[in-house]
Amino acid sequence: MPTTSDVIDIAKVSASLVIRDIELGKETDLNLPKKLQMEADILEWVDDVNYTGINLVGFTEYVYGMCGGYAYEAEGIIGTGGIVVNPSSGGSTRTIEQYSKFASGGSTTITFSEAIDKVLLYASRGGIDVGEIIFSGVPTGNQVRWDTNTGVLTVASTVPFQTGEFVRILVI
Amino acid sequence: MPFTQNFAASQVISTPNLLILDDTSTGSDAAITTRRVYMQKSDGTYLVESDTTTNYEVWSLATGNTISFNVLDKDYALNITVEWRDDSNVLYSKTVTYCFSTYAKIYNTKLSKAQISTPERLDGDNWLSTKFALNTYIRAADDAISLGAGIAIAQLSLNKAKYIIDNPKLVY
Repeated sequence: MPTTSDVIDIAKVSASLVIRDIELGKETDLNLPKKLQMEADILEWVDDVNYTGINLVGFTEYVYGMCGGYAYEAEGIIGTGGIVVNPSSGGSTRTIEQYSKFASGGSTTITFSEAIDKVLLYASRGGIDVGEIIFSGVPTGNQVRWDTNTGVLTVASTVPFQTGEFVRILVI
Repeated sequence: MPFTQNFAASQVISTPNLLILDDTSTGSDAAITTRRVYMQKSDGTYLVESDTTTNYEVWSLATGNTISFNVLDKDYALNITVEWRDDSNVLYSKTVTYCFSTYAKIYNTKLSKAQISTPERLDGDNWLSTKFALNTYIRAADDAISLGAGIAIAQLSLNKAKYIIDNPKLVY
């Protein structure tokens, strides 16, 4: 997981990347740049003044999660990892890892112990993309919650896993 | 070493009602016997503590180089003037404009905290537009001071932020 300071920069760069993809018709959440800039500003203030009214680690994970797949490209741009276009100019290579499992019927969680301490970039259920990835709170609808510390992926209680459902994740 | 007047003002998260002043002057002048502090608001009036009958606060030398005044009942943009005086004359004076926006920043962060526990809030029209407006007002107020636009402009933004803080129904 990148540091809070890195996540602030990642979110700021991601906002520009989202705007680019909106222009290209690849991004449907037209409010995402607004959300990213707003939360990056707030996270920056919380970090600067050591405000204890919010959990800094949880907030950092939340903002990082909000960046979604854009975080990876942003990290490559700012040199904290991700896609390293020119390794000689700095940054370190981080590898995306893929894991898959078959779920137990009726359960709302599935554990990927290999992915503990990794950041979830993508997940699919039965070959279909899940919705928003959240890092705290209770998932609803097609959201999933990822717990970095335990490697547990949680789906909404209204859509539990089916017996033998194929679950695939990409983590970094 | 000749006397060079200087000071810094700040507001802290734990006690946002206190305006804290630090006398950062260098050198000395034996003629100085006291200090006065003027905290001028955008409407031309002055902030003073409740038991003060003048439009300034006295900052005696015996108090030391740091003093706090309980005057920030909300966020303010202020012209702060410190005078270094003998018994009847101003010997040195310095005025600095400051933006105190901690109340708004704390509220903004509280909204983020609520959003983390209930992520779907962010997709509500009122939530996103109001939170984005609040973020913009905070940034605009801070920028107005740091870029020299003046306290009247900054206070307008702070007043708009205060309206959002005072009307939670705008977001919830």
